[in-house]
Amino acid sequence: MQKRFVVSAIVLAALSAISPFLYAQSSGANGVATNTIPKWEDALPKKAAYAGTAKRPAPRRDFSGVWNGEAEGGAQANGAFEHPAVKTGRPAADRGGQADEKDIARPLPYTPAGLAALQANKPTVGVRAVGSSLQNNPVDICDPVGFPQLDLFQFRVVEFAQAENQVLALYQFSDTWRIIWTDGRSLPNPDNAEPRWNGYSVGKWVDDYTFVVQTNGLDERTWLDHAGRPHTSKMKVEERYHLVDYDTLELTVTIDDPEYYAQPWQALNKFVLHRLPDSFDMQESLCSPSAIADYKKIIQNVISPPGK
Amino acid sequence: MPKPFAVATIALLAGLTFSPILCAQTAAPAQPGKAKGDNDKWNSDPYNGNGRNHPAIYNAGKSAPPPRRDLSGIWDASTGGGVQAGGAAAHPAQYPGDRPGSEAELKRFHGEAPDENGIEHPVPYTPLGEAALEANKPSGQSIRAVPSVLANDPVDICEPVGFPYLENFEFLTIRLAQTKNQVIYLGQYFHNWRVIWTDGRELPKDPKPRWNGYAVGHWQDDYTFVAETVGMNEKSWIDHAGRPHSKDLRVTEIFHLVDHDTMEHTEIINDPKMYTEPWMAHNKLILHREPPDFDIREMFCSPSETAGYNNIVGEPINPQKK
Repeated sequence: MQKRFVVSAIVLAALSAISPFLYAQSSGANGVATNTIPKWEDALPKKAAYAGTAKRPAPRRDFSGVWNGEAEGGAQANGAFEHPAVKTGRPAADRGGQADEKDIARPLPYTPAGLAALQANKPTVGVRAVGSSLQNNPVDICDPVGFPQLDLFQFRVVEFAQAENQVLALYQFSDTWRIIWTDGRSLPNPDNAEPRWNGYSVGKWVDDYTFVVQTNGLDERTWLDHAGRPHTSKMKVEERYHLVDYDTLELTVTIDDPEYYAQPWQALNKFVLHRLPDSFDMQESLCSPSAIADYKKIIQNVISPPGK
Repeated sequence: MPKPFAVATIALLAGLTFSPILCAQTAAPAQPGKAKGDNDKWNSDPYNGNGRNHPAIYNAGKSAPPPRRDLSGIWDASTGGGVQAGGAAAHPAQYPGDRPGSEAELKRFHGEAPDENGIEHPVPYTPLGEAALEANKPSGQSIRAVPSVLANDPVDICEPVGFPYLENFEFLTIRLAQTKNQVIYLGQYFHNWRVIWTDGRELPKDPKPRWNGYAVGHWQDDYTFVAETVGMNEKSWIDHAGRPHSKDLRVTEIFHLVDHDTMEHTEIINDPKMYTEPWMAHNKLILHREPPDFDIREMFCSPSETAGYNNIVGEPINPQKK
């Protein structure tokens, strides 16, 4: 499954500090603002590529651009970055065998209902891992990834664009998008909002370099992360995007779901996203049920060849 | 069609009008009698409302001139015939005179035609194209439609819809936005995005197939944007009538701004392996601008929902499952 969601990467160009908004294009052919030659299917730079690079000042109220989540661990294969479902330092040795998350390094504050919901979700990773024939991760049958799992699993490349009344977010994983309204509207009433896989989002600048997003109305069929952390449709998620400098964006994600968690908890805490060139072309990462069926056929045939 | 899509589409088409007030930047006033929240600002319905409102409502006022070199906005294609249940808008797989109550309609209802002989706007298949067409079994409202249990439309199992299928079926509302080097295209149906590069890069040669392909565009004049897309995965269909394509398919889209509130979309299919000449899937299909606070309803394909629907509806009519 994860093979299908492979990725790649790189660099950038200066936006006008005056106009963070999208605008009319002056020309079709001379818009190249980088000194790199635009190409396709770019490869993602690793963390080391960012060491020691010069820091330029952050633009004011503008985080538009293409951002690399891969370099600092956005794949989050064992669960949300701040709370992977593993014991200290030995993810391979810790794999599987537990009914709950006892003794993981950074435990979550489950309520009894939250713990019961967790146990119904059967992941393939972490201390609760089960064999692939027993797992029930919705993403593995191409159900929508949904928010906030978009931030908490295979968080490799995301592009943000700002319009006058919206921020547009384009995620590489599953080729899906979100719109974050900045026109001052309030969130829908969670008691009767029709659930959405990506929820309902509003955002605002709390200072010139910090954009805060609130999301509710989320479909409770999605998992929060690859370790099967559950949520209800009453969950509220806060994302805090903070521009440290031109090339660095920190994201903090806070999960607030009192039915399942006794306190709000941070799934990402100042998780670092590095700016990529604005000519960066994301590799496509779409889930295909027929490709999964083909893959399973091959694996199953290896394990138990037909006719044997 | 998977149930969640059906439901969402019905809800969408059944929508009522709402005030076309442009109200960015202002918070909604508190409404007495409502608890918390602001549900009216979400899940907007386009004007057309399943025929309850004549499309002319879009032209009721004098529209301003089109903006120069700017496609950005929220555009609704459903009024202009974007659903396309019988195949691409300019070439539906339907007989001449197919109107409610007509003989042509009755003949189409019967379905299961072996080929597309006799349709009003024939598509120029090569022999290979004809063979590929016959392997595709559509449901929907084309003359070759089969019962949904016998159909093999990839979208029915939630395969990615892909391009250009995403605008030749359930072409409802799209959000277009422009950065200095891209046109961003957010589709409602399947909730996928495309990027059309405007930085002058060339299309790739012999690319690895993608469901949505590789797209570049440029302004031909101040009101006409032309996009070219190549490198599409050949597993996807072109439309809901099962028109096939090879990996050599090249699609040309012409987005033409007629006035501030109206855009014409033309889509040309060029695939010499399957078609003897290029043909138009859309010929100036009309898109209407929606207000900037329009919130697009969410439409995802969910295999688990589809499975649930098939358990309820599919199995009782399939005796082999008994």
